[in-house]
Amino acid sequence: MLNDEMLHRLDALRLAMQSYIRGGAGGIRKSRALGDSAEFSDFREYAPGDDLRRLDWNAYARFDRLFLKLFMEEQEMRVTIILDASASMGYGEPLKWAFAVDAALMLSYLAVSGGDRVSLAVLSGEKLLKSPLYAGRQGYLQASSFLKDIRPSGAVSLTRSVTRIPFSSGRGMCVLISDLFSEDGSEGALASLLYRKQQAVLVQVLSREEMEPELSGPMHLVDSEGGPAMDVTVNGELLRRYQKNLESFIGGTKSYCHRHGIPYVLMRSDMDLMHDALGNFMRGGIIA
Amino acid sequence: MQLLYPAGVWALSGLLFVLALYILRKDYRELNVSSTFLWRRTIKDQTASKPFQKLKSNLLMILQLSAVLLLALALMRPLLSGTQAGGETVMVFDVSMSMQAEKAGQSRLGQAVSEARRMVEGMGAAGRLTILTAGKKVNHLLSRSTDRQEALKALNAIQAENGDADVDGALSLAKAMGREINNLNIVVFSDTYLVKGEEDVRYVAVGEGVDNCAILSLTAAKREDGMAALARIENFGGAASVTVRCYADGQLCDARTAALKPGETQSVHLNVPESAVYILAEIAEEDGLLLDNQRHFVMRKSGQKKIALIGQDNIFLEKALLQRGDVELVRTTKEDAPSLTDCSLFVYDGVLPEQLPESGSFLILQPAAEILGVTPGTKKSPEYAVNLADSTLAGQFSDHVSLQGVALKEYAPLAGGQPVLKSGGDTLISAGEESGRRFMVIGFDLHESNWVLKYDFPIFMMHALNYLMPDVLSGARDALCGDVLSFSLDGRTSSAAAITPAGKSAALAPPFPALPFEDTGEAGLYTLSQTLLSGETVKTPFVVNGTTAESDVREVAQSSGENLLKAGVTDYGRELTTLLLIALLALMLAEWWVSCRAG
Repeated sequence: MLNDEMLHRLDALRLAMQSYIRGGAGGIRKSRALGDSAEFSDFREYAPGDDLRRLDWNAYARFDRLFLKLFMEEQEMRVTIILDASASMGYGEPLKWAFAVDAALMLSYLAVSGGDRVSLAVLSGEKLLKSPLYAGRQGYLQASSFLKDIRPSGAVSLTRSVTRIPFSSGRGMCVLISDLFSEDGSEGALASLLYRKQQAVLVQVLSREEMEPELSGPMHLVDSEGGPAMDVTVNGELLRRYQKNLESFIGGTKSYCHRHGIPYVLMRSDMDLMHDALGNFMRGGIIA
Repeated sequence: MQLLYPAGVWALSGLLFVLALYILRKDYRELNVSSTFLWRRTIKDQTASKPFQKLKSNLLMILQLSAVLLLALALMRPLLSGTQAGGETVMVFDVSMSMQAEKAGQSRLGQAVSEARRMVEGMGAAGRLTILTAGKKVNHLLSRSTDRQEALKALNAIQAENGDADVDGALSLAKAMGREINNLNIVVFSDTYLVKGEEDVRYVAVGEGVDNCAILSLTAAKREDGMAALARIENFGGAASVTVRCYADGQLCDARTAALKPGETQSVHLNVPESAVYILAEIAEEDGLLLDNQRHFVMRKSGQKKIALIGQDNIFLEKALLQRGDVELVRTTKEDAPSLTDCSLFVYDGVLPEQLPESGSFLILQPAAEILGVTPGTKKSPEYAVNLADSTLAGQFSDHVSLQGVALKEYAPLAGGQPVLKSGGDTLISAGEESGRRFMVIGFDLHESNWVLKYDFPIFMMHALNYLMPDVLSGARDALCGDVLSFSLDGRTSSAAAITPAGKSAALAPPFPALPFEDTGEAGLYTLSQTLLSGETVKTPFVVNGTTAESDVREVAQSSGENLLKAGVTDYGRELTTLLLIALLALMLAEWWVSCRAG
């Protein structure tokens, strides 16, 4: 839950994403669908049958040719925030889940205070918990209430779970918040979102223990999601290899997102939300 | 190569132990993690470079197995032997006082033992070794042994003595062995003994020349104004300034400084308390040889000795007896004589006791019957001149005694005892020892001879008194370390023991005659303890000093005969144990480093 000071700070910000939106009620989100709003967008040559009221006489005076003015149609955006609530998210000090919830609420607040609608989808084991669309400032409180009693559990297949999320027709923005420790990876889930015309945003949350494990000696590691347990003898060499794999894992995800125009942000659960996390969102182009 | 201790192969069982440690399951600590997703990828990646990872993870095991192998090999004591593994060697060690001279913290004997140890460790498995030490006596420490450990133990037990060395005796013994054993090698370790003309002996010179100052002698005497001691110091080295400290009965009483030129001898006068009994002089500065920096001296106490006179008066005899200043004459009867238990000598002149006193010595004049194994014969007039007998005992009475012109009226020839004075073939004076008590029997009347008027009569009587009432320490005068001392015990002694400076007691008597005292290796103050028949214990201090014949340690002789060792022993092999242990230590350090790096 965000406190009043945090919310006050967020009032000065907005979601920076652009989205193809079609349909829906009027909002303050710029839409790429050309419409009748007052904001000029572009010119094209006059074709018989066009609305003569759109003729730009200044352009005619200059070029002695007829051009039509085109305008942006202003409409609201649907923001879907998908939260990975698998058991692995209930790990870390502080818990990754707690951080993910705060980040989701932050984005929810920005969305609704920017005139957009937001819905939440929580992936927990085989279950998919979908909230209704929330709007306005009241929507933030409703979103908070929705997430309040959810606890991470079970294992989640991101691709399968995300594919099951229903989206209404039209474009929207979809933020996936997860640690991405899924056997089928995250690419399938992101590709599914892109296919369904969502502007995907990926927020990967990891804990300090996962990023800098402080283990040594013979260990029997038990997977919190019921995955294969394993015996390892942790030594300096193994830790170095782990770091390398972690960097490779993160790098691979980043590279995929970059290729597909998906903003990617890496968060650590012990980050300060209003400073470090917010800064990351802004640097990632998700918040402006 | 050969193995000196093949039984060391048992250490290879350690290999099984190391393998078992790695086979046994490790004790894993269970830990819940968010996901093993990344760990599985990491292990998979590690397995991808399998050969090197296996090697790295097993490196510790390989190191430990190698360490066990090295240890087993070291225990088996491999020897890279030279030309041959056999041969027999006799090692003779000079253990005289000079072998204790030190330079750079090591004594000459220590150097000799180190060199010998190297030879022993390089000897072949079949090589035999005999070790002799040449001190005052030759000691056999090891006899024809093939056991290396026993040999090394014997070498470690060699100790220098405080006297001189009988290297000739040891060499003779070694050569006697050489007559029976083929290809015997004789190696002599010494600092000053030169093997000249010894063509079949290898001489190993040890040590380097060092400067030394020694106290050659220490005496003390009473003076009118007290008592003074005199120490003679000799400088065997460069110019030196020495401080001589004097202790009287353990207390420091004087100290003097003397500056000596190279090779100079100086006398240092020291003041000592008048009541001092035991005096020790020592040079304060340390030099090449410390043992001769001390000298001991003990003042002799002169106690009164009682002589009981029984029989006719004899003024000549009495005067002759009284010439010893420590004598007190007591006249008594033959019945009362046995009750005088504090008399050292009983003189029976013309009378014979029915019962001899239980203690003391006896001077019997004109015995009428057999006494103390001496039987008087029929009296007769002398036909020949009076002479000293030709015997060792008679020799004790010969100093300044001529017996020229001695005439007797008559005498009873004596049978028994040892003759001292004779006339022709007849014994006039006989002496001896009976049950530990000395006696002298005179077979004629002194009144009826002119001998008492001769100058040599009191001299003879003095010799007789010294024989009958000897100074108990007469056999221990100027005793040196290693000397065997004989004591002339008091005639009233029922038991006697000698006590060393270290407090060790050696029983001398009974039985009588007293045993000689051999434990004189240590320089210092000794005590002769005699328990008399009366129960009284008389303690007489005496000293034993180190020899000064070994004090000049400025030069050491040259080694010789390196090429004389017989085939098979010239090239002493090299035992590899030390190298293997060094390699083992390096391996253990490597294992520690790998273990730390892995952790």
